[in-house]
This record gives sequence, structure tokens and C-alpha cells, in this order.
Amino acid sequence: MNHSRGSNGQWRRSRAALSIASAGVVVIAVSLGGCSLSPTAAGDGDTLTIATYKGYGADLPWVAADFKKETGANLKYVYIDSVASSLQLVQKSNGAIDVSVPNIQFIGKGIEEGIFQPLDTSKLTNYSAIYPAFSERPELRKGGELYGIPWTWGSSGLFYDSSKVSSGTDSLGVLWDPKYKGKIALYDDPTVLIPLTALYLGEDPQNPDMSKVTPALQRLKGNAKLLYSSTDELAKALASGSIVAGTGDSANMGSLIASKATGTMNLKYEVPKEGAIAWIDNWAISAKTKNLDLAYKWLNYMTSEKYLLRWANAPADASPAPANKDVVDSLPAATLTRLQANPDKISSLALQLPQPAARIQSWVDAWTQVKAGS
Amino acid sequence: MTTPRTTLGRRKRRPRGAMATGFLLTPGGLLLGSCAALPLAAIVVSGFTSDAGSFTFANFATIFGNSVYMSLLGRTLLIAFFVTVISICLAWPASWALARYTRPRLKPLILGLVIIPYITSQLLLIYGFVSLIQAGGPVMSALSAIGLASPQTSIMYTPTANIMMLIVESIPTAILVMYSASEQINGSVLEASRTLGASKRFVFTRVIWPLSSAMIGVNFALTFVQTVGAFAEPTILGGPNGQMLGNALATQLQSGVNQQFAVAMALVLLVASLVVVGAVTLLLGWSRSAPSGIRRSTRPRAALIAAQAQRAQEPLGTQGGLR
Repeated sequence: MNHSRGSNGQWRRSRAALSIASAGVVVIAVSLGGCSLSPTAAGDGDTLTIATYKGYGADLPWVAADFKKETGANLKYVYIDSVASSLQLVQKSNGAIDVSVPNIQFIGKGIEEGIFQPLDTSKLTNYSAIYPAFSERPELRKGGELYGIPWTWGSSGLFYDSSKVSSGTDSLGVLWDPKYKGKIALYDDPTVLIPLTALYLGEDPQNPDMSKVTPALQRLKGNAKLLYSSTDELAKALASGSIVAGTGDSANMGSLIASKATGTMNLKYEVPKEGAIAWIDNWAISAKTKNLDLAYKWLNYMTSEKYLLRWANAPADASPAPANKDVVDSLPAATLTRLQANPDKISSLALQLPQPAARIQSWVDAWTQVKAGS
Repeated sequence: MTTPRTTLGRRKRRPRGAMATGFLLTPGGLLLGSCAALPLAAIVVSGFTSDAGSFTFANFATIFGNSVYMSLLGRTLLIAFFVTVISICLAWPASWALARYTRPRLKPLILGLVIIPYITSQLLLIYGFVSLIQAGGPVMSALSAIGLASPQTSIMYTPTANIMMLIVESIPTAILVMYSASEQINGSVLEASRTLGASKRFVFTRVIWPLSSAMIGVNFALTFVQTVGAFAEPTILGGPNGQMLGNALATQLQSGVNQQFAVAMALVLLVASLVVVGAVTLLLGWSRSAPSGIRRSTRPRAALIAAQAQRAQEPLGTQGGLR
């Protein structure tokens, strides 16, 4: 939910979030149009219905034809604008949506509410290739059973211009360094900035002591030139040469570096020694699906080397890092850098996990307070 | 013979009138009712709802009890107020010139040019402005060429940039509204006041202002309401210190928790804007009536005497002017 994918997606999402109404309308439209989503009487094997973001890998133009060739089944997409709304959508569809792609932050809610069904790992042909650090996460499991297979991941860490920042680049301390006052760019999202600040302070990124985080956050903002919410805004600031370092999403930074645009020539992305914030997107099967076999085929297709490599090797399609180790191992070095898929620091990542609403609210309040005080 | 005909005519006309009125009102009314009134009602209800779904004042208590949100609200209202006033001050002379001193053939062309930014996507305008003012951009390069600034500094990412953008966006509306205000004023009224010896200032305060202030009120309401909810401009241009209430609202919504709090913020902003717009409209109404009410008896005479005295003192000047 809080990670970003591509400048367009980010912008669209922040606008979409502004109107709760639109989300409500989607929900109402789906509940009203439930009949149109109902599986056809013909039953098994005909059409698989997928809830996903528009332009996020699963709906690449060649996917439907390729999947039909393998399984003979058709695909139908239902587009979502946030994971929270996709959970509602899957629940209300009453089995008409077969598979969806919840992230690690929200899948637990879906498991608790009985929206997803436990997966039989013996039917998941790529299960053994998934990084165990991901597939063994307790958030994906309940009663020992797996509910979602990790698909892609990314991190929010440090980027810097190596021609302007030469020392201490392995540490988040760069962001607080008075040397770079007025030259730092921050991703404008408290659910990223507060855990990052906590990592810098050595606090628990999931539940930091806000009385320590808030003053540090204040100093961080004091150093900042730009608070950005889309990669495009960051690209413009980099092009004008006013930014030397900042926080960023791995996939977006990778694309920026690969773009070789003005101001990105010496750009580096790093998971600093204190760690970085990370997300994992997972495929899950609806509890009430009527196309169970086909849903497994989809999960296997999505996590396959064939599919993931083809996605990863098309720069325009902005693939994040794949969760499949075999895929990552066979990626060329340049692609590995573009996707920021290097698994070395997976263990030092602090995942964006489910948080109580009151805690998120206290983070939002703290960030609003820091932003408002000039 | 005539009486029955008229009653018949009346009887026929009345129900048809009501029917026709109803018919004309229905589509627009339904659309407004379902797409404006209902969501607004839903927003009001949601603002008074707690996370658990019960009735509460807590959302509003938080906003009014928290100096952060109150100062953000104050800053937002102030920015919107000054942006509106400045845009009207800049647009009015241009509209006046356009309405009174521009050749009729040129008018549609100039108005068309004014409308272009009005129908251009807001994001496009913002990014156009960004490429203009960013460090290393044309404005900074020009300023550095004449030694006023370094090309790598810029007002980009400052509250000033945000305010300038909001003014730029408000000017087309202001020109269009003030153009129609300027055109409404009958030239013979101005001519008459001048022939009767009114000074330029007097013509402005007693003739032009009262005849334009209603449209200024309209302009104020349009621009203020549009500016007060600004969110993209401070996000892209405002930098770390240029945030407005719209950004706090967006951050709250994106966090995915306690959306009722964001709704309550929106409601507070709505009511505060209505209060400001109402107060300004009242003030404009007062400025129309009050001065003329008090000074009606004294001011024209004083002005007349002053004008006569001036004429007596400078006969040559007047003659020269006439020649």
C-alpha cells in the first residue's frame, strides 16, 4: 500500500486517495454489478478473474495470450487502487474474483477475515525458489499454513549522487548531515520516514519511541529541499542539480538510474547499514474461488522464471525485484542494478507490517506537525 | 365572451407553467441532489463518526485542540486570501483596459489567450511553471546573467513559489470576471461624473467601485474557494515549509487510517472558507452603501467646490488641455 511503483502510479494513487468517494463508488459499483462478475455457468477452467493494479505486471499485453497458450483459459482483470479496497472487493465478489495480490501489510487482515484460502505448497511449483526470508514470514501464515506466495519486493532506502556525496554513504546519517542542508529529498510519507528515522536512531522501526523520533524528524525536515510524492518530481529536482541525496523506493530509483536522465548519472541506491523499509507483494487465492486449479496455475505462472524474466528484461514495464531466487540469479548485472534486486541485504530490511490504527495516526500527526512547523 | 377566454387561457397556462418549470428543474436538480447534496451529507455524517462507527465530536475536538492543525488552517486561509486579493489587483487594470481601451477586433483574440491557461490541465501549468523557475532554468539564468542571482539558486521548493503559482492560476478567472464587471459600467456614467467635476479618485470610489464590487465578490468567492483547497501546488512547488491544509488532508487519507479525521478537516476548511467568503461579501456590500449614505450630502458639494477652485486657479492649463 505504501510502496510506490512508477511516477504515474504514484501520482494516480495520491489523487485517487484524495477522493474517498471514488473508492466508495467502486465498491458500490462492484456490489451492484455483482452479477456481471459471477462466474459463468460453464464453470471450471474458463475464465480467471484477477484483482490487481493497472499496469503492474499481471496485465502486460502479452500475458493473456501466453497464459491462454499454456492453460487454455481466459483472463479477466478487475483494477484496484489500494490493497485495502482490494480486500473489500474480493470479499464482496463472493468468489467471482479468483486471485489478488495483497502486500505483506494487508494480507494478515485478509487471512483473519477469511478472505483467502490456505495454499498447498506441493501444488506451488516455484515455492522452493522463493527466498525463504520471504516465504517463511509469519505474516503470510496462520496455523503454520501459507496464505500468499511472495511475488515481488522492494525497499525504501538511501540514494545519493556519488559525485557530490563521497563519505558515509553506507549510512542513513547522510540525510541528517548538516553539510547537505537544503539538498535532501524525502519521500513524503510518514509510514516510510518514521520507520527510517527509527532505524537511524536504533529504535524499533515497527514501534519507535515517538518522543525520540519527532525531534530527529524535525532535523531531517530542516535538511530537506524537497518532499516529493512522485518519481517525476524527484527527477525534475535531480535534473536541476538541487538534490544530492534522499530517500527513495528501490524500483523507482533503479528506473531513474537506468534512464540516464540529466542529474542521474552518478546516482546510487543503497540499503544502508541501519537497514531500509521494505514491502513484499504476494499472490493469494480467494477462499470462495470456483476455479481453484486454474488459480494455482496462475500463481505458478506468475512466479515462474519464464514470466518474471520476460517482465524484468523489459525496462519500460518497470518490474520491481522478483522474489524468485532462481530468476534473480539468472539476471544480467545491469538488470540486477535496475531492479535493485540484489538479495545481500534482505535480512536487514524492516518490512512495512500491519500496524494498529492509533499508531499510524500518531505517525501521521507527528509528520503533519513537523511539516507545519517552519 | 372575453372573460371566459382569459380564464381559459389562465387555466391552461398555469399548470403548463408549473409542469414546464418542474420539467426544466428535474434533470439538473436530480444531478445536484444526488452528486452534490448527498455526498455532502455523507461527508457531514462521516465527520461526526468515530472509527468504531458511533457519533462523536472527537475529530473536531482534535482539530480545534491542536495548534498544528489550527496554524495550518490559519496559514491556508491567509494564503488563499492574499492570492485572491493580489490576483484581483493584477487582473482588474488589465480587464479595464481590455473592456474600455481595446479595439473590438482584438478583444476576442486577447480573451481567447486568457482562456488558454484556464482550459489547460492544472498539472501542465504547474510543470510549465517549474521548468520556468527551477535552478538552471530560463528565469534563473537570466537573473544570473545580469548578476542578480546564482543560476543554481531558485525560489523553487519555497512557499513563495507556491503562492506565485496560485496567483498565476487565479488570474484567468479574475480577468474574465473583472472584464465583464468593467464592461457592465456604462461609459456615459463615467463621462457624466467627469463632466460634473469629479476627481479621478472620486470617480473610482463613488462610481466604479460601487458598480464593480458585486462582481469583485463573485470573483473573490470563485478564486478563494479554489485556492483554499490547493494541494498539488504546495506538494510540487512548496517545499518542506510551504505545506497547506490540503497536504495534511492528503497525508491523512493516504495513511489509510481514521479517514473520518480527514473528512472533519475538510469540513472545518469548508466552513471556514464560507465564513471568510461571507464576511468579504458583507464587507463589499457595506462598502457599496455605507460611504454614500454618510457623505451623500457633503461630498459632492466639496468636490464641486474643489473642482471649481481648481478651474479658477488654472484657466490657462484647462485651455491648453482643450487645445
